[in-house]
Amino acid sequence: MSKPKVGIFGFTGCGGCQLEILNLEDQLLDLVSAVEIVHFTEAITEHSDNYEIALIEGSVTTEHDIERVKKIGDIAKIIVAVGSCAVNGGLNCLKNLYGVERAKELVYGDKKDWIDSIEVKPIDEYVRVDYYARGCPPNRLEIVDIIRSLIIGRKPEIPNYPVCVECKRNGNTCVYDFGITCLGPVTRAGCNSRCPSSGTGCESCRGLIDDPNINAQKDLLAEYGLTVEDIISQFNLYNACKKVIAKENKK
Amino acid sequence: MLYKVMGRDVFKDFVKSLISDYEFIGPKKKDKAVHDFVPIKDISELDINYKRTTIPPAKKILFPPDEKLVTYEVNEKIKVRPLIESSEKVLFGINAWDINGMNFLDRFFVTDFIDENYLERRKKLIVIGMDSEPTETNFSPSMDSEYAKDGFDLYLTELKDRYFIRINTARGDEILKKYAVTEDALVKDFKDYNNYMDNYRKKFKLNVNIKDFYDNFELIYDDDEFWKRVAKNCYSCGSCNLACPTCFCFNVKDDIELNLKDGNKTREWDSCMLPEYGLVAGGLNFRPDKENRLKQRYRCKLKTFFDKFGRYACVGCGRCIEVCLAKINIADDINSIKKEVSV
Amino acid sequence: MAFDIKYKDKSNKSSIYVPEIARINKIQQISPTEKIFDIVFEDDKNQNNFNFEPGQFVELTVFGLGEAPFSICSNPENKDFFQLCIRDVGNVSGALHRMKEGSKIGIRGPYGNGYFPYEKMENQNILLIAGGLGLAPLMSLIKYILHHREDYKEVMIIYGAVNPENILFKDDIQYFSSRNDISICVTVDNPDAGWTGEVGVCTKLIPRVDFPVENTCAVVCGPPVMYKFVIIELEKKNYYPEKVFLSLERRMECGVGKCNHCHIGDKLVCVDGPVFSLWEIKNLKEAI
Repeated sequence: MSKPKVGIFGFTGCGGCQLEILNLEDQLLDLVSAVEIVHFTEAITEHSDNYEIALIEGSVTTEHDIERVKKIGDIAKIIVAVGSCAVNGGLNCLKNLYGVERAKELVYGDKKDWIDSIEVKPIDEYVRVDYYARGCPPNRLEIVDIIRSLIIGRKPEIPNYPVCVECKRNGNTCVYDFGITCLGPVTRAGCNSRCPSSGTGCESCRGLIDDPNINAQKDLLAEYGLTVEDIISQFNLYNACKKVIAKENKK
Repeated sequence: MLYKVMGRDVFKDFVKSLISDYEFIGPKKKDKAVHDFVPIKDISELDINYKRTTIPPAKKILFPPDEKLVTYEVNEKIKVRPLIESSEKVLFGINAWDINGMNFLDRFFVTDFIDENYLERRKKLIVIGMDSEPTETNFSPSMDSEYAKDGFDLYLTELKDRYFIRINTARGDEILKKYAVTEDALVKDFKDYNNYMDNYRKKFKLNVNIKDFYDNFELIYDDDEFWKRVAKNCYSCGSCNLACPTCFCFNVKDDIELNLKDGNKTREWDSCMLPEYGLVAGGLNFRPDKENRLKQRYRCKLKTFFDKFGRYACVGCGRCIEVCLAKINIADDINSIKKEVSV
Repeated sequence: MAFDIKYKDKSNKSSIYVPEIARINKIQQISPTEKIFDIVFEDDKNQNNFNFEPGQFVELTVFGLGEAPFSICSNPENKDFFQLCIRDVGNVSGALHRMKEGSKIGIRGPYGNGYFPYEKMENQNILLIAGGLGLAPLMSLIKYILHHREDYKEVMIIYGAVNPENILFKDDIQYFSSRNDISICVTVDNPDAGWTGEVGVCTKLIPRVDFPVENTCAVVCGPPVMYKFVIIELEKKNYYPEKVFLSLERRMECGVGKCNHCHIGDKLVCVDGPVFSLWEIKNLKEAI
């Protein structure tokens, strides 16, 4: 079996997702021997347009981004969105809440017309995405698992249960017991309950599960003294592009 | 059962010797909210005056959250090997309802087929029980679980100036002989012990009428409105199951290293409250609704195993009530059922 | 300890989760989505010890990828190999469909204490009703019955498929049609130009069956939606619920009554089933 060729691409974001791949340490060598990496924006200078699997980090925020991501979509057989920005727009989507023009003005003042900036969208608004490695940063073991699954021909298993499951498996005390609010009960697991394990509340960087109980979550947050605005901004931090949540909350 | 007493001064040395001679697991303060059962290296870490433990100690040891069951090498020939890891351990300070939870798992894991992974660990686990303070959500006496009849080697009950010891196994007897000076329990000791138990039982404030629930369960079973109301705020997060001392559902996964040679089968705790629990290949889900899943959980806990084993799969520890952010309260629900069906 | 007396120790200490190595000897594509796999254990001892009942299933491991339950579709009297008829729908079945003859897999089982009770069915008329892939588990029973044909009265098979190309076991069906001691009626939902047989769902053929109910057993296997309608038809004819047998499907992770995914009410499909009588199912909420 010939090794699958993989391209790792960066769009608008902090670049931390690619760094997570480089941080694989023990498994990095196994990874590069299991696949052939032909493009890796952050790590190698060589480049080839011959790849089957594309891992894409970052969201689409410029006209140029749209062209690039569509070109990758034309070449790659399988596209994996890596990290919150690529998966659901991530933090970048906060810009959309201001409106593009207002945001440009706020940041660049009278030079705003020099800037190529459009409404932030996750990559699946422009290309078909086969698999999502969620999170900010994504769980590097999950990235490896997705690649491994693709090699052996299995559909990668991305949890559709909330972070609470991992918290319990890890034996964590619930952060609500310390009066800390947490979006864990409605957020897709797969991060190994990273934030609650270190004593802070989940901010839903992996997005919501398929069937979240938003009403229960609102009741819960309200009980802990959050106003409707607080609750919306909590949900919006990583999920502003998913307008359904903002609407749900305004009801 | 053999009954002895041990002086308070002897107790500390007894524990110290066990810590030095055995892999010793006992309660340690984890944070301001809970204690956790962890390996103890020094007696100063041990805090037997615990109240809340989020994860049941025995389940964590005997049936860990994730466990490799089988390893294999995939080459020209495929070599498969079972992985059954076990070592002798002392589980110290586990309370009666958690022992009863373990007794349930004992029964479950050897019924129909014997689960060697569980059994091997269980056989090597030396269980030394002690009472702990019940939480406000604990209703063990209603479930007949505030007192352990068996499943332990030694059970220590703290009286004013001494410990009353129930010895349930020859192994427990030997350990006691080797590490502590004890005396046979006399009439006064039994009287004090009985007094203690009377007072101890008074500490449990929550009662449930499990008989009513059992008798009326089939009546309420088809009342969709009732179950919708109970499950309204359910997150389908599985916390109730994962914190339960008797829940045993698991998934089995096959995995392989990136070298595509070394693989294994792993099991991990699952929960019947998660949406994918009833999903089969092809996309059909046999339990797509949260109210249906919750109803099935109550059936499993409070009916199925009473019919199968003559004991409930619930020991009334109250953990599921504590961990539920949606405030679903099994005790309230048990008690509400009679009123529901009589309306 | 008190605990010791609660279980019977087995001499064989190997884990219930360890599969035995087996080989795919032959693969036949029998429809666009289904293949039949002939499976033989690598170790002759395992092959010789492998005795199964019609209706039982095995847990099949594709190493490194996953494990899934499949019903056995071959004749239990055939000791040389056993067969599985598998549709390409999931991770494990998909991987199997990509495999070649000679590939190695893992097998645990056979499992299921509730199999088709062929002994109870002796001296009875047998009505077999299958929908789609549901014919696979029934094939094992049909072949067993044909092997011991003199023990049974009349045998009739009603089989419904979505369209003619999805009809499974075509060779066997042809062979059954050529015998005069078994009747078979195949119906399809969507006929093509060349189809001359029955059209419509298999339930509509049931009213035509004229076996006396007091000595007839019915056996049903198909997709979950089918059961409700078949049961209505059988009840119209007053079939005895204790003489109607259905094979149920649920999610299974272990096959040995531990993982609990396959529970229906108080029963487990893996150890109490997968075959249940209609009487049991009627008293088991949510089974159908």
